[in-house]
Amino acid sequence: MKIIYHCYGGSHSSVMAAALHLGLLDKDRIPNETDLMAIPYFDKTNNADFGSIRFMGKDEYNNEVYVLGKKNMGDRYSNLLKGIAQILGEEEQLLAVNCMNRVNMFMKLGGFSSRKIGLVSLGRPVVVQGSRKAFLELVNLVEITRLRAMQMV
Amino acid sequence: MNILFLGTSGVHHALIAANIYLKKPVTDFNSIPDFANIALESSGFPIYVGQDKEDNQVYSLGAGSDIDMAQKSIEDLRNVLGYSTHDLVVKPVSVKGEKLLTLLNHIPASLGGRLWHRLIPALILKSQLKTMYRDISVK
Repeated sequence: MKIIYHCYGGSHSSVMAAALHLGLLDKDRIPNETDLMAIPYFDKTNNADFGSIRFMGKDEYNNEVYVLGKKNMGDRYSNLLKGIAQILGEEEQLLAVNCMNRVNMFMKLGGFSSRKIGLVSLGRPVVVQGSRKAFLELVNLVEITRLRAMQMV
Repeated sequence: MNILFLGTSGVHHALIAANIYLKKPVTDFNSIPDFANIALESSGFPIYVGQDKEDNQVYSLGAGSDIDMAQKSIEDLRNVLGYSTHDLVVKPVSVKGEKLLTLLNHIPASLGGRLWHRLIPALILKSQLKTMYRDISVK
């Protein structure tokens, strides 16, 4: 199965969710800045990455985990992806997960400053703070997703 | 093979383009099934339009203001699922005023849906039919 976590930029919440799913982040410990910056793609994407489905790794059940930035397309993008999988007869092979409902204001402001306008030194500490605040929310989302993936098999 | 006509709105110009491709009549927009069907558009799912002479399945899809981003995601997903251009081809459709069509789609039906979703888009697209016919025949 292919699991795609998506958010606005494919740079923070979706990347953290994918990292949690793959065990790159310990779900029992709130990460610090070093932990977060060690995750591939975390606060490192640019405008050219919007729309690209990027591979993060395989989980213990051999599910492939990806991340995607889809701007402000919301849940509609999940349906778009599901619709394409349906056309190809692979709807049972895709799980698209919108992470935006777990994103807080700090992540939005910090992410905008760091990624959109390039003020990394200003935005990164804010997005890291927001990511730490959202951590348990993302742990919950990933747990739900893992259960859904198991039910779909 | 599947052919997907992709536009900012899947129930306006992309749908007309798919119908032109299938050689269905499009001069009367009201006779096109699902034209200006905003509920269908807001679901985000591709809309099945028909089958061509080579048994290709033809769809229309609206992807909001950033068509390039949507095309990239769709093609990436196709590849991730192990398929190629032999299985799914994306044909972007562009017209003048396409971003306005996206904005109009967001106006609630209770504020005069027929005007915003059907009449104004029809006015915008009517004058561009010839260009669309020419573009589709090239594709």
